[in-house]
Amino acid sequence: MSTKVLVVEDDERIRTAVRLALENEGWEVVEARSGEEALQVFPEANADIVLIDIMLPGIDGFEVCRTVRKQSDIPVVMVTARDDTHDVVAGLEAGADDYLTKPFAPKELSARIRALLRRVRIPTTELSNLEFGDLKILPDQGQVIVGERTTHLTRTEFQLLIELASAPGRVFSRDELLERVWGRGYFGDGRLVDVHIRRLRKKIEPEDAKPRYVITVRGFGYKLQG
Amino acid sequence: MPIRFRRGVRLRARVTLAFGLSALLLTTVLSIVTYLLVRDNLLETREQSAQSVATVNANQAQRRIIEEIDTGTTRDLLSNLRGVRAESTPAIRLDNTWISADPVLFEAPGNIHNELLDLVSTSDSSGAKMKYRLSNGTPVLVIGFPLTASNALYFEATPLDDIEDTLNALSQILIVTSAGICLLGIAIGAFASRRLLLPVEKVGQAARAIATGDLTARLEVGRDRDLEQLTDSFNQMATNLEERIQADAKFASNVSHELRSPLTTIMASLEVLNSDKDTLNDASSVALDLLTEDLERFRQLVEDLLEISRYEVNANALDLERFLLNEFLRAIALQSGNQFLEIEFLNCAEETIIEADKRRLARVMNNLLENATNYAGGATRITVKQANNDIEISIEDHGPGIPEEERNTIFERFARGAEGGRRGKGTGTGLGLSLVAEHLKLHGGQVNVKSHANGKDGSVFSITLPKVIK
Repeated sequence: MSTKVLVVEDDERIRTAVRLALENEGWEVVEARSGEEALQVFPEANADIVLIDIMLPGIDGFEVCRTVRKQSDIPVVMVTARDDTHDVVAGLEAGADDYLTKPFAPKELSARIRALLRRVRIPTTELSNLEFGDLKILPDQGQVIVGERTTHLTRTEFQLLIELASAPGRVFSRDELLERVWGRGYFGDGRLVDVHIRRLRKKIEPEDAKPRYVITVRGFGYKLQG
Repeated sequence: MPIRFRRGVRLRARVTLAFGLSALLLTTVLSIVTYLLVRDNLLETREQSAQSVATVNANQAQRRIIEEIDTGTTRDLLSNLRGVRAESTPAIRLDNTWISADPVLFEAPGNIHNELLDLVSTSDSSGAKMKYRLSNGTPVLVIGFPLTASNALYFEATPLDDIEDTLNALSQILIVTSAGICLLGIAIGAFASRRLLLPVEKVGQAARAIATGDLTARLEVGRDRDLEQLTDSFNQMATNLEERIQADAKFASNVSHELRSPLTTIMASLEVLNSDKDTLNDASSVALDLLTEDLERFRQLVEDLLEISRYEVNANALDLERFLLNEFLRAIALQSGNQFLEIEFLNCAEETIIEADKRRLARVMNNLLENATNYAGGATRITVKQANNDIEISIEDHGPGIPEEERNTIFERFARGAEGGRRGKGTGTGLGLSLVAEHLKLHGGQVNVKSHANGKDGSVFSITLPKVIK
């Protein structure tokens, strides 16, 4: 079965052009003209990935993203017409896995989609269950247990945690994490990493103000502390 | 209409000087008046008492020497007379002869003026007097009376040196005091002018802040009514300026934003067309290429305009991170199609780590490399130098070079050199170099261009930026 992309975009021309370009890649496209329509079709659409424009009339893109996130860990790409820090960070904090700025080249879009659709990659074959104090990572089951409770991570968050856990104590630069998790080159946007680290901390740290596991090494990057 | 300020001495110095001079003038007048009053008063008192004492003494002498004048008894008589001061000396002049306890005083030439002798001998019983200096320099008051009965003249000389000493001391005190008050005036002037000019200083600071791009700088509204008007109009001016600039920037931002949606559609549609390019005939295929190329340039222009409009509203914050300069430069070279470019670290390690906004610095390097590709046949070498805490990255090319007179203007928006004016395939947007300058300014760095030191053709674009941003 081919990959199905849900495209949420109010501008009919953009929606159509993007559909044509994605279909050209051999993917199936489901269109939604508004936030309301998106939330309505999402449960039955059975999409593999969602592309959401931030500026929608009515329910905006952030809200659509948050609602989708509550129901599923499906990869979400936000599309913004502004690359201000505010919009990008707000989109990522709403739960998006990646973002694109208009105007984007369709090739760029399909590259992002491919990177997100890759199944979670386990860096070392020998990586068995990992334990850091109260934090347990079960890579084969795709599960993280904090204390007694299983925490639900999105695929991107999980991939990020796995990369850090592959070498506990080692500092990973933002570039390295961008490359490994998002398949981005040297000039990727470090904010992707920063916001995902924040999201990850909210889910696994006992206190997100005082991180115990995911530590920031100022000016260099992040590490997972055993 | 420009407001003219007087050049030359600074305002503060002028205020201070005015205070000092006023103090000097005031104390000088006061001192002179004081001195004159004291002098006249002292002399007058002395003269009055000398006069009355001398009158009494003259009368006494008159009574005693009424019949005969004998030098011996007269001298005894004179020595018994008490003048107004112990140093007062009485004398009798008879037939051109002086009889006195101190004949030297009266007989020394010039000590008793002929004029005085004439005045006394022709005067009535009230006598005559004169103030002058003796030949030994002592100031003296000489009073004389004619002794009517005996055809003799009575004189009494009273030295005024004590008064002179007092007056000398007084004048010294007055001079020192005047100088002191003058200095105090200067000090008060300096203090007052500083206080007085503090608001002016603040206006200056705010104006400088605005001039250097901080449009939000405002003056604090104080409680002083005299300054309120200045503060209000300055702040009003700054607000107007800020609004104007923001409106311009907002317009540019809106325009770019509105352009982004159709650009997205066009880019996606063009890609669909490009994937079926084989089925097009030659003319359509060339047209499609043209469209694709110019679309890319148009997209870049919109991006650049948007970036510049962000600079206008100061909505730019650096996203700083530390990274290996070497790795960064190699990635840039690779990305911009200059993978064989020589990168040389002249006086610093290849492991040099710098702190910068990577996205912006990448834009800076890309724009400079692209500039070299478009106008100079491509960059030939990149060198890295360290000077103090600055890193200098130079991009060399062997192109036609940039004439001296254009070197400052090429960093302005939409500036193109005379050569660059011929738009060929792949020329830039005209905003590239100005963005280079803006990005570097935000980092506290700068860019400049010069010719090769060895006189060869081509230019060297050098950017400097602090190794660590404070």
